Amino acid sequence: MKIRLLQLLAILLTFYAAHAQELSVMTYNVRYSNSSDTNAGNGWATRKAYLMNLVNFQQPDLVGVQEATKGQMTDLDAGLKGYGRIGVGRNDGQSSGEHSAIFYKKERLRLVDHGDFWLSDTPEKPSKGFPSKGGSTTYYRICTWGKFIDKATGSYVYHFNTHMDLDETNRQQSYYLIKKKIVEIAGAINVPVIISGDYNAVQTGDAYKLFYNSGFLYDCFQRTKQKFMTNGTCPGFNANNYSTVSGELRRIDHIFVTRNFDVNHYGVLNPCYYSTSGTAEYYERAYSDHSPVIAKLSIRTPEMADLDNVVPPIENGVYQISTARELKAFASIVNGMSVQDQNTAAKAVLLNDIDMAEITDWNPIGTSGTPFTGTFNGQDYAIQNLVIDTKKSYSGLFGSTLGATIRNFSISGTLTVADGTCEHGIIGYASSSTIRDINSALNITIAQANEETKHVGGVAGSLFNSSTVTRCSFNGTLSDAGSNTVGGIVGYADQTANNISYCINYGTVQSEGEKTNTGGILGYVNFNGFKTSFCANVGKVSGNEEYAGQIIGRQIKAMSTPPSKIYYVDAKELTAFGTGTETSVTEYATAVSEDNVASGELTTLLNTGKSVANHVFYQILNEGEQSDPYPILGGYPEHKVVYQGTFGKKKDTTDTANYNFYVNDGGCLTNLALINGFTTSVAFIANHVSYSFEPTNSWGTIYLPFAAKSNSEVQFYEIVPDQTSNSVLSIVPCTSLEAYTPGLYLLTGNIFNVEADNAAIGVPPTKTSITCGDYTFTGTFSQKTSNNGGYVLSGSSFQYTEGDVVTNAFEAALTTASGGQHEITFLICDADGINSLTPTLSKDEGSIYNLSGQRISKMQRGIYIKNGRKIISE
Amino acid sequence: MKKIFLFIIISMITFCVSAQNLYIGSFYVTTQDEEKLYGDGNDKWTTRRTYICDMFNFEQPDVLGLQSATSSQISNMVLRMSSYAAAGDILYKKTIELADSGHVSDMPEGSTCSWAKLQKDGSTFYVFNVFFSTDNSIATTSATRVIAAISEINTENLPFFIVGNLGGNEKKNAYTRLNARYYDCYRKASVISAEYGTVNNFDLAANHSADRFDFVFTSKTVTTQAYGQLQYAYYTKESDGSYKRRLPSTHFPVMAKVTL
Repeated sequence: MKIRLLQLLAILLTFYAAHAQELSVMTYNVRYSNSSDTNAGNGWATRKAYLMNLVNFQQPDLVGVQEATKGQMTDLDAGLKGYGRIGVGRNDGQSSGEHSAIFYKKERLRLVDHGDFWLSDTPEKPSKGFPSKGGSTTYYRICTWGKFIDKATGSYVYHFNTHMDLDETNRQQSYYLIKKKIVEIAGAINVPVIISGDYNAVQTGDAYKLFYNSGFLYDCFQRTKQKFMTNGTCPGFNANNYSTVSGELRRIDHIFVTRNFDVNHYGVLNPCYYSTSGTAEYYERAYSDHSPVIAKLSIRTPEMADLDNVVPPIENGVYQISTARELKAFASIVNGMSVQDQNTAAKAVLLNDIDMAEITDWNPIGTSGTPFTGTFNGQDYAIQNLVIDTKKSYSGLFGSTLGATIRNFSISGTLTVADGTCEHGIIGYASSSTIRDINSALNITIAQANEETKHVGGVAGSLFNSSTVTRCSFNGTLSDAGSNTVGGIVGYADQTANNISYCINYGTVQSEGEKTNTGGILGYVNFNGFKTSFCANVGKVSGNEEYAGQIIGRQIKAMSTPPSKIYYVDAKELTAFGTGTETSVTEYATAVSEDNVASGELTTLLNTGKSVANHVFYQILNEGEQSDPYPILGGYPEHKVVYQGTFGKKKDTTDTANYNFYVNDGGCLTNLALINGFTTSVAFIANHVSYSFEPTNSWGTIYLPFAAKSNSEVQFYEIVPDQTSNSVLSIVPCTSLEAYTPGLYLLTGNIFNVEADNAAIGVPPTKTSITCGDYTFTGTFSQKTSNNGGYVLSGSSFQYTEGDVVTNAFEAALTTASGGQHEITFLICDADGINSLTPTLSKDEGSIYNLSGQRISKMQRGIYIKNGRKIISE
Repeated sequence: MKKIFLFIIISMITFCVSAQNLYIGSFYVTTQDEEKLYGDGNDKWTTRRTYICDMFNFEQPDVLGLQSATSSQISNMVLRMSSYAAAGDILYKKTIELADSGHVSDMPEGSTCSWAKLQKDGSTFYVFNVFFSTDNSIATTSATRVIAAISEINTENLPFFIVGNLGGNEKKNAYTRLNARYYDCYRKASVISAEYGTVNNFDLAANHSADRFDFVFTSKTVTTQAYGQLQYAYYTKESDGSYKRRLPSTHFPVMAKVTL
């Protein structure tokens, strides 16, 4: 039964929510009752019935009126049907003077709290303006507020209603006071708050802009999904007046709401009545000199409202952004159009990936007039589905920056460049700014051919005044019908010292323009102080070859510091620079093959000079579908490093030359066939590894990077220093010789061939030797020459050789620390038993000693000393 | 616990089922042939349709009967009023279900009556949209025919509305006959927002008599809260640079807010 009830409840709740009623809010300056209006034929007595009938017919849930004097309040209280009312007279806090009262529909709303304050230095009592801030007025100004429970939705709303002063300073101060009061009364600025009123602030004025750019309020006019408005909000009593400002319908009556509302409809209603009475020379008359403004709102559910927690929290002075709306609010915080409200130096971090899909009216952070000067750290999160379509110059996530640092995020979305505009990118225009660690996957469209359309880049539109772009990539598409300048990373670098380094283009940069400067990295630069290094293009760049290059479209000046480590792919249609580039520049680019890109070689080249820990690029290799086709910028949690190893041969070839392999740290190499040498700086797995050659001697030294097992043709011996003597080495036969351990082998067949599967190839130890007293047995992976003399296993004996001694790769050398000949004892621990002999390391030519130093006449299997050299007898 | 649930559910059922509000109206659109005959001859459909549709998109009536509207005017309005569908010359919100619709047969020449059976949140009702001849005797016969047709069509005795233009004012027989059987919202409403009659002929100064030609009637089970005429205007820039106040049609929309 309980479950059924719950199901029924759930169904009903769904039904209930789907039919949650709109909350309709009206603001209406009813015009104070006065005799000159009456003389003109516009008296309250005539028009009040029309006015109240209109309100009664529209049935708004909340009505904020302005200018209603005591007698008018009596009429309204009696005439507005079904409404409760709050609000006191502004002159005395009782009933004297005009009221900014709030009528609320009792059927829908329950009043739970209310109050009044004055727009003044002393808001708690009837008082006039803000003389402390320079404001001057002869009027009391009041704001009435109520807190209501919406019976239909269960939500609560705060409604503030006011009539602001004629003095601009007072109006601006009123904004700050109201904002402060909202926090005091509602506890926060992200709760459902409506601010209705006659703001006396036209939409082009600074006081209006304070509200508009507050970061927490919407003007319903802007926010609404639908609008019915044919005239300004205050055209006067003459219904034939048409009221505009700056080409727009003039508005001074506004309804601002917090982001907790959706605005479904917005209307300014302008009915009239016909009357020839009075002195006025017009007969079609409005019900008041203002028209009522109505907004129909939906209260967002608490969950939705939480998403709308727009003003991001601040920690240690840094905005913590975790939603699209917060990011949008951050733009408002930065841009605020009045000096008091803008914060161009704001700092922000992203706390997670941000999906911008719901933001259809993105305004760039920082404008040409007020560039962003703060810091923005994406903390390696992604900004997705950003739609940049401002129809203006200076567009982007950031419009314009000055001395800013913008870093560590990836971005996807679209950028539509309006015809004839300039400065577009993630950052439209960057001056003295640091831009780094940004991956751009913007899809950029320049639809019209027009040389006046300029400076478009996948990361930055243009760079000025020593801006730097570091570790950025472009992986989107830039499609240009024929503009002035486009680049995968940067469109244009100005005649100041800018620097682009460690940047790579993966994306598509295409221009149809005959003279469009088009570059995979940079479109155009004409300054000799420009620097660029460690940049590559692996993407598709196309354009007129005179103006287009894989790296830079055109650089028309010689460069004080030539480009270095600039790579382009030789098989692609353009070279590094457009052919119109200064010839002294073009020689500094290096062509690489597509193989070089795929193998990891390009990655290695781009990491030149960086220690493994500081590699800028990585590339996963030899891991099937997880492999990377080209260098990847940035850190990768497990496989950060790609390194170059010079060893073995290429898989499935008979090429016996050493071949460069590239494998990432911890990665896999399918088939490693060692030939002439080996180096590695990271550990990896070799799915199969082999070392094979035809020895000329039966005995030999051996040193391998993997554990090798004795087999039917090869027996390994490990060398173990004696515990009691510093001049005795035991030679012990073993089934497997450890990796990176020098040892001996005895060829019992014809071919030396060892193989291993799934071999863990570690990083070679820096010292790979076995020491006993003065002797050191040291393995090597590359041929080494010592000019200090040493023992060489030649034929079947160790022979001391003065001067140059050569040790081949994968062999070991016996040396003494001080050089020259010394005594050593070899203990051969064989199946035959233990022989302990002391060698005489003299130049007693011809005599043969066993390792115990006893002269013998005939060698059996073992190591002996002859002519002061060790020899091995089979 | 169970009691609490039951209480909540009962409260919600009460909320959901009781008191179905409906916002219904009638609008004489004025055809493009007719519009030239009034005002300065420049109240063009191509201009005024924008304001007409903005106005109704703002007002969001549930049902709107149209008269003096060509099919192209109606389809253009539906195009601009994206939350509405049309059953002939009756517009209704897409959230409302159309159960049936048709035309009343055997209407006298010069008069029309279409109808729609609609369902809003479980409440079903009929709307009859009439546009009668200005000939008094034809209009009278038309009213008689509509009264009979309602009984024929509304066999379930559901709430219904007659909206439209009767071809004459309240003194004519057509009105008298309908008013004798049904409620005229104008007369039943506790709130009336209308200073004049329903006709302005694009020139309020010359035409602001109290004569009403456009009506919303309800069956007697329906309660009317408010009656209003939407007397809003728009402005056009004239050749001399001045702005002229204009009305969206030769008639004001007449609207009623009712409870089923």
